[in-house]
Amino acid sequence: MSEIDEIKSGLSALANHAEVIGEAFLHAHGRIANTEQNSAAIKMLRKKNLVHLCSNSDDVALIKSVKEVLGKVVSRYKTKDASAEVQYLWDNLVEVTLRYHEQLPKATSRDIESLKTEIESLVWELSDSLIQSTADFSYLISDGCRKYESLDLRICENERVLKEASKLNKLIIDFSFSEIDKLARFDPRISGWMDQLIISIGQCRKDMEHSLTLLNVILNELRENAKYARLIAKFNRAFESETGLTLNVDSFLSLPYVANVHRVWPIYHM
Amino acid sequence: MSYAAGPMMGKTVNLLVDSTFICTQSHPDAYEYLLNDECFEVASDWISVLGRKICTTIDKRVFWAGFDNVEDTNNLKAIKQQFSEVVNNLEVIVRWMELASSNSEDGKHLSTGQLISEADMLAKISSSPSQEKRLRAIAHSKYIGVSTEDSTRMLKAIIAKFTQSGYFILEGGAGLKHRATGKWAWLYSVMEYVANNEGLEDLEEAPDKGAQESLFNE
Repeated sequence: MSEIDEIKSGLSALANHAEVIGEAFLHAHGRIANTEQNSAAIKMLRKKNLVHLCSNSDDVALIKSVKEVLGKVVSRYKTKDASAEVQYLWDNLVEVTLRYHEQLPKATSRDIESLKTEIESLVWELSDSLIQSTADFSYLISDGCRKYESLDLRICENERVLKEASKLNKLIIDFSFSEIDKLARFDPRISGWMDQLIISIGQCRKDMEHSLTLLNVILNELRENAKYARLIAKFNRAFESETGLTLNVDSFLSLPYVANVHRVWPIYHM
Repeated sequence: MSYAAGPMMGKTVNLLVDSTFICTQSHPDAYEYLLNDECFEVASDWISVLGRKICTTIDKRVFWAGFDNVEDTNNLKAIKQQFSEVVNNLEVIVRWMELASSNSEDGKHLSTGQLISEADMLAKISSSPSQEKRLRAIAHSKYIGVSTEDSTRMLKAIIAKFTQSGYFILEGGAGLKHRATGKWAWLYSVMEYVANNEGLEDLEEAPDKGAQESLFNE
């Protein structure tokens, strides 16, 4: 099979099992339960190396690159709900970690392990969500809201993205590193995961600051361009009107400040 | 010797005395110099000896030298004469701005730093008879003053005229690409004033808070 055939076959596998993959991506952190219903999808996706086996289970999970592609596909949705998703995951993480500390003296070791697994999973998911959300905003910057031809629509889209980015940025800034650190309560494994989360948040803060600066620059440029477009259109309408537009400086009651130009004759011409 | 009174001062003052429009594209070092308040003051002091002052647009995209005394009859006459040249040719200039933006990437209007490629523009214009007609009207106007029917020559003549007038600088020396200077920012300020003066306001448009003051009233 040639490389192009391999690519086609891989993409077909994704398309044929889009329902299962979509459900796994959106609602199960990329995990596909090993059920009879999913067996055909799992078999095909494993053959194409698009999933990996989960530890201590027969379930499989979508590989990172597939999740990244799907994340890109739903980037508009994700930028809209990015802050809500991050807030939701953070609230969950705090709740599960507190429950873990509370249950530690009394729960069975199996339940404690389950809670630890849940904390680890939430930490990675939160880190992924933060990184993916900030990456989505960067993508929109490079895209420059170019899907619209109309300047006004581009401005509206840029304002929407900027508003969402500001919301996510506020959330990221509001994370207290000492609070995250305290959440671990000196548990070495949890501390390790929380340290990783702090690193991710630090990187996202930098990325978001950069994205917000660029989004503001783009917005200012778009607004300026729209202002120029309206100005040129005004003159065009006036010149093309039935009466036309005849300009005569002598009829001006005053001259603008910018008219004050000293010119050296005869080398330079206006 | 301080930076403000250093070699950049001499270079900047010379440019201003030569009636050069200074912007980030045409003279980045002199532009940076004038953005510095202390340097601006030093250069202003020097140029005032010659009866001139440093002027800039509201957004400080471009600096140039104007007359220090605008009440003086001779100065006023010179200002009006030069301003008339721009205003009298505004129709052609606006038509060119429209043509340039409709053939630029992203439909962006001419502004400081924008790169225009003669080859790309020509390819787009040549594929549309209506655009060619617009090009011809501009090229054959009194302001540009060429009679050729060849699109390449017409476009070259137009860009050459605007380059000579300080609106573009050559990019890379190949002659096929030009970069817009801050003089467009100056021109937009002129246009805003003329639009207000002639009552060309859009009804739905909010008043411009940054509207420039008048130079003087007659």
